[in-house]
Amino acid sequence: MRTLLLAMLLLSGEVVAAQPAIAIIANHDGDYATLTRKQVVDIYMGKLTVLTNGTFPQPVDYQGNPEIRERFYRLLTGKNLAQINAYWARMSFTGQTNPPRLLPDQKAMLRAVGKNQDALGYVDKNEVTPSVQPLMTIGE
Amino acid sequence: MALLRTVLLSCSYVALFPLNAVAVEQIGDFSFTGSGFLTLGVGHMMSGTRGAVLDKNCPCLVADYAQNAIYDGNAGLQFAPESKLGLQGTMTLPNPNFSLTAQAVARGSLNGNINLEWLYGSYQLNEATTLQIGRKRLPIFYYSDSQDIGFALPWTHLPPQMYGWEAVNYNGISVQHRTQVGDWDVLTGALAGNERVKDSGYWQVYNGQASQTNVQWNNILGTNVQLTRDWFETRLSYIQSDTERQNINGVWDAATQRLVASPEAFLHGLRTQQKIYTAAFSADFANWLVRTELLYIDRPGANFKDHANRLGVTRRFNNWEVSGNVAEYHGQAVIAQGGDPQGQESHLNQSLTTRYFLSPQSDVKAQIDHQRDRGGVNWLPKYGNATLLTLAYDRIF
Repeated sequence: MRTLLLAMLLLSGEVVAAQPAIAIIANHDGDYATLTRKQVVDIYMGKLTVLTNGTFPQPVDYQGNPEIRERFYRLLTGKNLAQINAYWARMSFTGQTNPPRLLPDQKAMLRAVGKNQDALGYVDKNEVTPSVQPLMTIGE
Repeated sequence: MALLRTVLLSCSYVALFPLNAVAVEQIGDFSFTGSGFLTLGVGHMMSGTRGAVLDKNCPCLVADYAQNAIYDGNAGLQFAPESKLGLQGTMTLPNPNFSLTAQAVARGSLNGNINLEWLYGSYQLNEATTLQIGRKRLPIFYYSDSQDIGFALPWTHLPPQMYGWEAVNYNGISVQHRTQVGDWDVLTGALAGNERVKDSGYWQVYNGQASQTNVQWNNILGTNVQLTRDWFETRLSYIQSDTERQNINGVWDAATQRLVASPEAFLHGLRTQQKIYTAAFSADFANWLVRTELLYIDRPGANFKDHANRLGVTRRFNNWEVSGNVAEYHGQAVIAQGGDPQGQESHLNQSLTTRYFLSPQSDVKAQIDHQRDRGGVNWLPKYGNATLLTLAYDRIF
């Protein structure tokens, strides 16, 4: 029975190597104390451009298809990168809204968020430095 | 020839953009961004009602009315109707709130000729409000904006019963405002403008490939609202315009070396108003997406009204998607205005689509369409029933 359950889990693709959790990060001066997980989803999908406290979030994302980007959208939206790109193809080719600014790697992400008061980013939890403020953790 | 031209264009442009990322160029305070989309589509007519209709050898299936994209009963593979390549360039000015965007599309259905589909300036009034001026898509339906971008669609082509109209663009001004009301994301928009379609592909579907018809939509005014909460989304839209049609009767004027145009009253008046109402509802929950759209067009004084609706269900499996869609169009005779209940157009389409994502920027799709012509006995042209297989490769870059 145990073997059968293990086989079913393997077939369903639920067994994956352990991966670090992802920290949502902001600038130390950013006004994101009440930010919710749903708001993070809406900000990264271009649906939420201003918070009720008057903050205009500036999300930043990664160029290309790095593993952390795939994991981030999977955890937040349940969709894979292709589905996310299909969504953004509709939004950006039709003038509805622009996708987040793209950066090459986690070091650049930490630098950008550390410099910009309204920036919002994400890095592996174990990559967080004192230069930024961790807001929440996903994938733990 | 159309295929060859489109494929050559596609290959050369894809070669220019070999990377997955969009191309960005910075010159002083000006920033240029280039991106694009490509669809290589092929169709094969499996079966249907055989016969000559206008100048077509049917069975026939109109995949895109506005672009006159028709799969016919000729043997073999048909690449031209839906293959297309689009390139978009955006220039951001020293004032980062202002940008200029142009999008050109080359289509197999138009022999690979390139049309400028979008050309607009965008000004960010504030973080929530955007003003746009120029040439844009007319946002009648949920997927109107993205109708050319195969990678943004779950199908090889949009359901023609819902999306087949004579004007798809307009020149004018629009404003969009995004806000939050409680737990709802609210996107509201308004637009105003005009559109003139020369040598309309839509009317070639009805009057034959040799026909020439000009269409004018004047005084377009519209508004729409989109409400989103978690997995639920609804979009309501209203657009009105004056509409006029002009048939070119083919009389050659030797003096001017041009075909002489004869103004033809559209329906029952030179200037008829149309009121277009649409609604879309969708539930995107876990791996399921269910979306329905409804259309009603009223033209006061005309002898018919338009109704269309569709229901689609998509199931996602990792890199796979399976979609089923049912779409229906029918004209409703207005008997008080002399409408003929047996002279109305009506058709039903059922489609099944399988999509596989080759990468985060590309996919392949296979789709079977089964269309039934339910037009009245007095309705012409009667394209009949058709079962069509289409395959598509989509890519964004």
